[in-house]
Amino acid sequence: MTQVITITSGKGGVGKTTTTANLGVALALRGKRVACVDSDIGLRNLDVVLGLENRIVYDIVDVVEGRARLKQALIKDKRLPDLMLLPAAQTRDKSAVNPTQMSRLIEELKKEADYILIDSPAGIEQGFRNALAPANLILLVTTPEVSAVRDADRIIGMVEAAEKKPPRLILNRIRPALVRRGEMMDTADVLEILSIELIGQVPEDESIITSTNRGQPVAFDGNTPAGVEYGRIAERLLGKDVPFRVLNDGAGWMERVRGLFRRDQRGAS
Amino acid sequence: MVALRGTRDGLRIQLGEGEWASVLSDLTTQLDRPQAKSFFRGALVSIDAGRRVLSGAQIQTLGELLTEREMMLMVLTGSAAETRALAAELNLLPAAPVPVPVPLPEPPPVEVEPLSEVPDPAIARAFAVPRLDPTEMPALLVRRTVRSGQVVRFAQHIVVYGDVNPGGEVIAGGDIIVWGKLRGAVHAGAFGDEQAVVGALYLAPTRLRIGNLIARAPDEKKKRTPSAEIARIRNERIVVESWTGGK
Repeated sequence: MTQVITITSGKGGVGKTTTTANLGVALALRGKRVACVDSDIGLRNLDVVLGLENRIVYDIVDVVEGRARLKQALIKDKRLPDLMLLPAAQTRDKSAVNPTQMSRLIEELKKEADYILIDSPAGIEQGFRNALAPANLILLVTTPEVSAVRDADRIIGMVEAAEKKPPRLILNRIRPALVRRGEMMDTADVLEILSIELIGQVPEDESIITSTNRGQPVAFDGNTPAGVEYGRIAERLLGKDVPFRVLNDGAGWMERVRGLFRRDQRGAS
Repeated sequence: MVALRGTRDGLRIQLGEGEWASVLSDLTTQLDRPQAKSFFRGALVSIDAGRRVLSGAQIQTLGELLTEREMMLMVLTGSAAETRALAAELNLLPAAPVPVPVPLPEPPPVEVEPLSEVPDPAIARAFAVPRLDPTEMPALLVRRTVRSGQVVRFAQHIVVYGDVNPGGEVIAGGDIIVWGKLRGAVHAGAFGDEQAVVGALYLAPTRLRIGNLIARAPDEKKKRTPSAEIARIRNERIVVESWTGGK
């Protein structure tokens, strides 16, 4: 049974597209047939991050409007034959597709893949609703910043209202040094507000910048800090029990243990 | 033609002069304003008929109108002797010793909105608070965290068993009690009741209103150890006190 996973956030720029691309690569490397779908119509980026923008002939709007068949629009990655991309249109906007059309298209796409990863646009409007409609599982990406967490909380409320299961959290762009200095929220702080299940903690990683520009997701390499974590998230998606690492080097662990005690004494929420 | 006013005891509907049909339609329009609908849910209503003489059938119609909107008719007053007689007959006098709500026909089935429950009307009547005792009023219990962007409105008290996250709002005609962390915006005594209180296990709202007064959390950088606190109006200002048990 194909799993349809929507990656969303509310806040823009927190790493949805990067996450979609890298999880797609990580799952395909592990032998799964993966279709990545870019639902950010008008501001498409997934094709760029995957390095496939020169191969776009037809896009999702062409399929929805009947000018192309789904298989004609699907781009097979030459590096990984099990990885496919259904790109968004760039010359239209999110009103071009509605949730029903999206659901029908995803239903058809299920024949081609074991995993469908839908890259949701930022915001809570039509594009988000389109991406949400067909989802079995929602991954909520946020950075450890107050504004991103605020938006993430809003998204959880809307997912609940849509009667979907609560999303699972990917905390992205974590900087352990800042967390240690108390200048950045740590995972527990974020979970205290959002109260959803964690599925990944991705550290800030400079190699993301180069990988985006080159169209070569870090998960191919698997040796960079973010690449490693994307691999671990993929394993968790596949049902393996991969423990979460404490994201800092040894120096700070005593402080974290003390912090845990303090939190427990205050009483649970 | 019809005036609606919030009071400590609930909602007061004043029927003015004019044709019955237009009074009815004016009342319906006012009650069905989009923001008003969910707010009036659960409200206890008193009708002031003024000089108008209402027939039994007209009161019945008013009662149905209210039940359809999950409101409850408690009191009927008016200057005409016939009105007082009718009120006595239907047990809608203001100070009746054991008043019983007007026996109303079965309300039509109501669409269930997400995250709300429509009680069985027969059970609701059995549990209805007959006397307007200010210390025993219906409360809405919300058993979840109120997330950013969500709004909970109720005409009487609201208890949240969960957190109220920043960006979430709770608006009540009565008190607001949060068994959790209150970090959103609240308005207690929204009809103008300055006796209303706001309590929480961790009181740090972004905006706190009681009655017509407004206050916001002090600017602080560090998280305090959570301790239960109650905010209320004293000497025309909102003050926050540690909850030490009892009242």
